[in-house]
Amino acid sequence: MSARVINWYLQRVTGAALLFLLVLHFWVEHFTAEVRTPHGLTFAVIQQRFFHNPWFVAVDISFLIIALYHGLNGVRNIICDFSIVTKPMRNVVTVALILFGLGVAYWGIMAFVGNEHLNPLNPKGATVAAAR
Amino acid sequence: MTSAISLTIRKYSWKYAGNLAFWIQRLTGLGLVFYLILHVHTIHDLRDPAKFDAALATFSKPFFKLGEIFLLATVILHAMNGIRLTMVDMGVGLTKQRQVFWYFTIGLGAALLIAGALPMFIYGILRHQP
Repeated sequence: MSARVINWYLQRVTGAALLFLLVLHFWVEHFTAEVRTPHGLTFAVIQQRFFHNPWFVAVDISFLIIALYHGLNGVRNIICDFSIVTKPMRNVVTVALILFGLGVAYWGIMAFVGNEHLNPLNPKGATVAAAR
Repeated sequence: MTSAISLTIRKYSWKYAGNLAFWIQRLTGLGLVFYLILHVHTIHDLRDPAKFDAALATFSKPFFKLGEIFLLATVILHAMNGIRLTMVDMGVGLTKQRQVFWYFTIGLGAALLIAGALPMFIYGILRHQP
């Protein structure tokens, strides 16, 4: 398989994965009992989930990376569809989108990694949840 | 004579479901990428719980809840049309593409939207307490 075929195929595979992850995501953030309160989703709810089950972080980060790949690859497809975009320009677009995607991924991952409020071993984080 | 101009006119004449589907997929896709970036920006505020709760209090206002239902509609359109596209790639239902577009993507998509939007409307808008 050439790189372009793999790229086309991955767009379908990530799309199928996002289908599953998005249903789960909407369910967890909008329809579960803890969210169906007058306050809705709050920091305390998220904190309790993370303390209860650290796998939430793993799912969220993989979700972010898969969504970014699928989305920015789609943007690349749209840009490359314009006939004025030549092959060298295409490489510039690819590199720019990869750098942009890495930046957004870093920004998202930093919400969880090294976040003292979501660390179960951190007493400061526990007080935030208890105070509410 | 099939000139380049007449071919272009035919291609963009809105006569075929595929053309509509093409534009749906592109526009919803761009919208979702834009939303994803905004979303990551909000989630980054998890480092500052007070700021995060302030942001979520804003987003729980009925106007933004309506926006969330609009987001669900965008997601469903993109997802259902994406499934249709994959079906075309796999050669499933090639002779019934128009029907698949209207009954599956649009029809079943609308049913899913109503099913998903109803609880969001009831709990997010009707029972909203400021």
